[in-house]
Amino acid sequence: MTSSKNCWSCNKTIGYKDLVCKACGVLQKPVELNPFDVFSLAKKFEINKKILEDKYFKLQSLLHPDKFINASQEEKHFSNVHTSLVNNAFKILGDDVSRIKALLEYSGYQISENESFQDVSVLEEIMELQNMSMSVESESEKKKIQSHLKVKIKKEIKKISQFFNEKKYKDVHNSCIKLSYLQKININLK
Amino acid sequence: MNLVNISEPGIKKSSEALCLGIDFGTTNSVCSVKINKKIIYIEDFKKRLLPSVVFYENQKALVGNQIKNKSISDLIFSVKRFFTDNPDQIIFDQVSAKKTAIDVSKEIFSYIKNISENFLKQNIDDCVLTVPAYFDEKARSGIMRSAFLAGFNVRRLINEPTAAAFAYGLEKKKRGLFLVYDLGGGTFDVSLLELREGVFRVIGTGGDARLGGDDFDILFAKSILKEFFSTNLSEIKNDLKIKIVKKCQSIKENFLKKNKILESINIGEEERKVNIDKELLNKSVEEPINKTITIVENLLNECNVNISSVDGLILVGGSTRLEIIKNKLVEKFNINIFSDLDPDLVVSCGAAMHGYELLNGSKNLLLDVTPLSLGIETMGGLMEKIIPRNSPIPAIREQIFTTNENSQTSIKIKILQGEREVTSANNTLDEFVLSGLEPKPAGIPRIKVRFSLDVDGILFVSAIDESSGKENNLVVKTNDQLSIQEMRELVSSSFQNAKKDIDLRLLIETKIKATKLINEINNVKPMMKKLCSSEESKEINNIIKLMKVELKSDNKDKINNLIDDLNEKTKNFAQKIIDSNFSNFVGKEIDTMDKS
Repeated sequence: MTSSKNCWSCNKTIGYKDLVCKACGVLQKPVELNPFDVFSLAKKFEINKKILEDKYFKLQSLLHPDKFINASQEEKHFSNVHTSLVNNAFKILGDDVSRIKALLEYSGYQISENESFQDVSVLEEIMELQNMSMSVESESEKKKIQSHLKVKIKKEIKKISQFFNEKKYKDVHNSCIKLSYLQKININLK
Repeated sequence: MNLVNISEPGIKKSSEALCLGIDFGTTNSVCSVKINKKIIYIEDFKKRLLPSVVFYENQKALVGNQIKNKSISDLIFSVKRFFTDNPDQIIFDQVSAKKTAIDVSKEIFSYIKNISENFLKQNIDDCVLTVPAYFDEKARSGIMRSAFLAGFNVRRLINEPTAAAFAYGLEKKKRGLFLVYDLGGGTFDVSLLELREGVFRVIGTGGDARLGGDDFDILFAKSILKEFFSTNLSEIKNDLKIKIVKKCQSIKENFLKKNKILESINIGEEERKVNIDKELLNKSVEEPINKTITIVENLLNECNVNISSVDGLILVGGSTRLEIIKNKLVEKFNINIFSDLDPDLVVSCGAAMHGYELLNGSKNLLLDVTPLSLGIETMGGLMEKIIPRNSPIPAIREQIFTTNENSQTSIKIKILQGEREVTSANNTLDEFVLSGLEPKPAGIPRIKVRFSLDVDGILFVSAIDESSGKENNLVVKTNDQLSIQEMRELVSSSFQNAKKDIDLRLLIETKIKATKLINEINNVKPMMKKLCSSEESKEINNIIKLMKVELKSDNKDKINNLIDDLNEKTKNFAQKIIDSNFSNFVGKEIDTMDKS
């Protein structure tokens, strides 16, 4: 990867990932970055949400269009694109399923959209949970299913973390599909 | 107030840039500016509230407090209501002039600009405008256009409840849920705001577009007439009726300080001094206040939020000064109430604070989200969401779409806003056609659709054919529009209709799948004779026939079964196509077949 570039405004040589030119202080053209690189975070499944939030804030206060209200048209435009990229990256990393997919993609694992999920036992389990959550009648029953789901989600996340460590990407993908089903049921239950 | 000292021409005390905060209201507008760490309210005829009323006199417009002794029927009221309908429709039609909602609002903005410049004794172009949270694309861009026409440089549009929260400095907190209860002269709005990591999200809005302080005055007048004169308001002549209601309005305002008032009231034939107790006022307005509480409860239910997890309720709008409102809210919800700031001025105050920070820099950050999902129509009349509801703005998203039929040379991009799965249930913002595509088999062209929603919530859409580089784009502007009530229903009905929508979506998707399969087989039919036995061909053709019949029905399961059958029966055939070296001959059609 290129390690340097020239500032579009003053032409001084600066770092490739620099957001602002060190020499003239002008906002740089956004470059395409992996969501982890947007926040300079290690490309790992485990993430510290607190650090992510802090970094999100720092970037927003540096890049948000509100900070470029008197700037040139170019900078205004760059700020708009930068902030959108940061917003998208924050959304991807903040959600377990989309973060897993981003990491799989980075690891070179191809996710085929058309491939159908074959694991019958998992599908049966999901269907049963789905039916249970659809027929929930009382508040206490709902709470029971919710805590049940919580345990399952936690277990799946633990599994995924381990699969990532072992570089078993196919297994990560399968667990990720299960996780996304579990989370969908959980959201619909609320 | 040391106004003159601050703004006297030639004596520039500070290098601060000035930015007006304008709360353009349905009944009244308020405008303020932050100078020397203070919020200064612009006064017009010594009043801070500028009635949002316009009167046309020989082409010249009179605005607000300028209008005196004119018949009510000649005045244009509540122009803001038309923005959610269609800002470009003619709302004032006379031989002398035809005016749209944008034209009429422009007069109000011009007047605001004028009085502000007179008041501050300096030129001022920059402003931050507030809009209701439920305002959609067209309403937002419409209101921005009228301010631009009046010579304003609109630096930012922000949501009214967000501005109120900003005025109370809530953005400095990290997390919390807040209700903003906004009871104006003619409208009631309630919003649930979530503050998380400094981002204000409008979780939901509710309200009644026909409930406000003016109703209180009428109800109070009715009670007084009944109590002291044993007569009905409807029996009184129109001119006098207005006088009595106005009188009751001022008595209502005096009750803010007193509990008993001695007042003489004239009902035409007789004038009498009456001793009015505050309880009478409280009793007469109880019903509409209970109605607002029900609306708040419904909003909480709809958002699935328990009142105990709400951190505070902000009072906005002059009518919330009535003590009974605060008391009832505390009694019902047992909640922390924010009411230190003047409820008439709080929205404008928040806008002025934000405007100041925008132009002069600040560590504070105000992040907003889009209230409704944006997307385009795809096959079968379904909405594909590109920017989902509650995404922080600005947001840029791209998605690749493809054609549905062979040799399609143009593609229609229909831009939608709303939460429902089915296009027809959502609001169509605009549409355009990307033409001149090279004819190719269905599914091959790659059309990149890009949605860019800027920080003011204004949408730009472009579509580009990746192979030819042909591009088409537009900024979403006005057309026919939803009413306020419809806006609100849109969000709530998407929950109620979710199940129905999903069923419908599944059916439509199944039908598309079946049609695609038939098309694919038709594409390779010339080879069928070579590669399949006559029996196989016959079977395949039979299923296709059955499928075409079933496609006219709405039986999803039957269609699905036929799809499975057809896949099964053509398996052999597909394998043969791949095996035989016909791939050059059929080219891309095989690609499409493999993918499905």
